[in-house]
Amino acid sequence: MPITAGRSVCLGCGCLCDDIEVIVDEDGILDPRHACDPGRIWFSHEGQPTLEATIDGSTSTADAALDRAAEILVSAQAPLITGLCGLTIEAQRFAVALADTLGGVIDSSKSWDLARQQAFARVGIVTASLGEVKARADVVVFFGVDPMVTHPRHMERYSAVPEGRFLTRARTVIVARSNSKTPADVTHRVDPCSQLAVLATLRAILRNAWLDRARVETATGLSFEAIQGWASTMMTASYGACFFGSDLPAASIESLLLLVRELNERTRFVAIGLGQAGNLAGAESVLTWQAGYPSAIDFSSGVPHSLVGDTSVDARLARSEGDVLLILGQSDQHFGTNIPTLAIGFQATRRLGLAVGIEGARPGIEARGSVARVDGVMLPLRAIQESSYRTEESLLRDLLGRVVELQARRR
Amino acid sequence: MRTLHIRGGFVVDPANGLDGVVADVWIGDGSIIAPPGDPGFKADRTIDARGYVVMPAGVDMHCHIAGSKVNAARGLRPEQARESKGWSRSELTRSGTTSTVPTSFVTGYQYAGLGYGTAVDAAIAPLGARHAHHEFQDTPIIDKGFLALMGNNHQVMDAIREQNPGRLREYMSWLLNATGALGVKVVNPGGVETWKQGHGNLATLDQQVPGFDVTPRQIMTELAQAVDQLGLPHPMHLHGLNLGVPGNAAICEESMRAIDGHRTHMAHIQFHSYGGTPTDLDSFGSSVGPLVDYVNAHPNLTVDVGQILFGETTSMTADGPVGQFLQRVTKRKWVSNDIEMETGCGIVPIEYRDKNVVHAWQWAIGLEWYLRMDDPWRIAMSTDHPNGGSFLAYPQVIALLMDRGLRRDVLASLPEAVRTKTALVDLPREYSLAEIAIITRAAPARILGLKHKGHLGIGADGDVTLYAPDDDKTRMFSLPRYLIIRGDVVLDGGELRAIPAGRTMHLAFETDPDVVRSIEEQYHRSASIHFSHFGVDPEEIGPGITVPCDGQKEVQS
Ligand code: SF4
Ligand SMILES: [Zn+2]
Repeated sequence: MPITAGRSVCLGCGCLCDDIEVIVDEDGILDPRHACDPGRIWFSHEGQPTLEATIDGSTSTADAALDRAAEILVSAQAPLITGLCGLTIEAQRFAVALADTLGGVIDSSKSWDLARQQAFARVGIVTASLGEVKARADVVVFFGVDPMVTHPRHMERYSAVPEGRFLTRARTVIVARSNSKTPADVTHRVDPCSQLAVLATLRAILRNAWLDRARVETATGLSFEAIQGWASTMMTASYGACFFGSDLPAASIESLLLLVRELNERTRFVAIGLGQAGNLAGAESVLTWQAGYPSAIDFSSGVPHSLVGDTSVDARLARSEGDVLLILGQSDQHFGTNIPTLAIGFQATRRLGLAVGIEGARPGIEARGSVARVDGVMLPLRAIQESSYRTEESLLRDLLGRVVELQARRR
Repeated sequence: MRTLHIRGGFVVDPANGLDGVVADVWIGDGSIIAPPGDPGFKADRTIDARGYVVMPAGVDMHCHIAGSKVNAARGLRPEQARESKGWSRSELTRSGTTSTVPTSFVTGYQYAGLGYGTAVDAAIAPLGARHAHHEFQDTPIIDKGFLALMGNNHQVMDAIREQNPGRLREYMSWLLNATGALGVKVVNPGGVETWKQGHGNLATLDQQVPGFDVTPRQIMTELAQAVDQLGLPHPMHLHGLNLGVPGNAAICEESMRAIDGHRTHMAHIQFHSYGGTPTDLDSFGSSVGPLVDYVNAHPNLTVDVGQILFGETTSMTADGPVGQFLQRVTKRKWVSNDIEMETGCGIVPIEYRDKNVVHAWQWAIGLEWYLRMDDPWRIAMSTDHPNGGSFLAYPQVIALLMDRGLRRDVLASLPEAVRTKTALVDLPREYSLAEIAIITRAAPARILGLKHKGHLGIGADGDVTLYAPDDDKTRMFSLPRYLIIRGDVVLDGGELRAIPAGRTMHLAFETDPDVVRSIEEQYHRSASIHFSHFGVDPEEIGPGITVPCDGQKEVQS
């Protein structure tokens, strides 16, 4: 099978641009061609840590640290595992296996991700891969988001530069947000608190419902004509795409998904998230195929369970229901807990107060693997540089092996 | 050599003409071997199979078990996962959920529990190949593979419009190789692309696909021909137009005629065998008769049934417009996913109810197919898992085929309109054990072109199932006594004893770099990913078996 090296994936935002040509000079400095400014920052080295591993703050070898980590985890009653989003899918697969084997809790998501997951499970989604938007969409709506700021190359790569095979007319870009830097044909200044009212009004117009002009204007903060015009642009699209962000509350996401679904009674329309930096989509995917749910899984009964607000790592920490915390991959999150904490992955040994820290090679720069984009398309990561550290995938595979061995010995 | 001796069972191995004769089966290093010449030779392990039925392990040639569509269905149905009992972790097994769309590990365990050793996912979008291979690596025990969707692929349609069959073959072999696929799947050729463009579905073979100026007829015939010319082990696997639509039998027959002698596998034919008209639901009924006559008379054609069973399930298809149609009918949640340049995808929960006239007809039509096909070698058991029902229902289907009394009992509970009109009542046929072995292993393996599967001849994979004979056929086939995979006892008395990884079966082709360059040029126009990230690297595929095409040599990797 052909391997064409040369283009790399940037994990700097949800675009996951995979056209980055990385030039490496003699000093190992990376020059990521085509990357935007935040992308260049993602590719730049963030002061390489020097420790291979630590046990109680003292330097150690990765092997000794893996032994220690396995002992701590096997002795724990209620281990909590978090930080899947920085890992490759290959490493995530071992991480979920580890949680299952330990009977622990594993989680990757924030509360706003749960809102999207729940909305999806209630109504589904009419969606598409991003290339469909590039090739077909003549109407693009950015709902409550500002891609120019958060996803700088989204418009250039997928959503706004018209070059599609099926585009017969110019693309209309609508931004629905009160303070937006994203260039658009029409900007509707939709305040976050009136998003739900706007979505409800658009759905009502679609159904030819009778609307009270004054009430609509008060609830949405938009003129009646503006919102009517907006609805009509969507209805007359030949293929429309509505992008939404990760911070919409559950009710708004559900309403947006239903709006898009209902538009399909008249034309084609799809809803797609803008996506987030890293590999959240991969984490949700792996958790779903291995354990049946996209986040917050409790394996303690021997069968996976997931209940939002109960089985998440945050909830368990808040209720002091966990006796070891294992943080995987690169993560700046602080957990404010005093239970023994282990960290494995890129930049892991920088964290203070760890019982065990094991440094990992950086996915996409020093380690191969794969990641999933917000539309579910999986992209390969290929190592550009050598690392003195082991990959997260191999560390987790070995940790799992040690855990299984220890469990067998203790049985 | 690691050896296993299965001694003295009633061997049912239709491919080698054995119908319940008492014989020994020997496995050495994972494959069937001749009995050792030295009568004193002692195998590493011997299974006393006296009194048991010995068959090759089951082969499922059409199911949906992996990839982005299946996984979206899992995510769509947490309520089912919560209600289900779940699969418990053990020293050997991973835990998981057991809904109508089980988790990947559970899928492997459940197939093994049913005595199956091979399963082929019938619809993977090429862009989703990487995902499918990931899930395959987490689907243990069984050997698996997938068919790559091509019926709405832009470069396929472009090559057909340009009347360039050479180009078509080059593109297809590149695509099969780049995705690690086992064969070619065609779903509603041209119709999905037309629907994606917002022009509705195509309803006839000679309508044009807008922007491509090709017709469904051209797409299916050119692809069937290219599959034959490439010598692929499995014929073109066709899900035609108008799936599920009343009166669709006419276009199904027209499609079979259009293919004109090329090998074609007609998928889940039950869903394409309806009489009546879309506007009058009372006219709905069975049109199996003319279709099965045509198939019986044309040896180039094979079918799997796509039997439905009453109960709750999750429908999933690459036929985007069918997903939308089902959502309109059921008013339930709906996932639709357009995949750039390739296909669509629709997922809708559905409940088949025995009091619903259409559902009752569908049940009867499926069975009619099994009972009216003269040659069991050209029909394979399927529920189109999970579309018609779970693969776990195969034992129930087997029981219905082997026992007309059972069929009569179910029929008695169905709506009168079906009870009085179905041809089922007049079909006394009861399948023999050998015929069951054909439609559940020997025939699907042969139709897939898997020479190592579905039989117990020398050189075949050492995949063997032992059943305790039982008048209750559902029980007999639900609870195999042993499953042996590549010579290892995987299942013993209902318990899993070993969890081999299972392998991924795929094709392999050399492609000319100039051809790849020209494919790349076309690709960039509409793609959202860089061409160099499209193909799946060999290390992204689990332990693999390269299945040879005609004229290719066998390689194990
Ligand atoms: S848009 Fe996002 S993914 Fe693309 S280069 Fe910029 S930061 Fe990286
Ligand atoms: Zn199918």
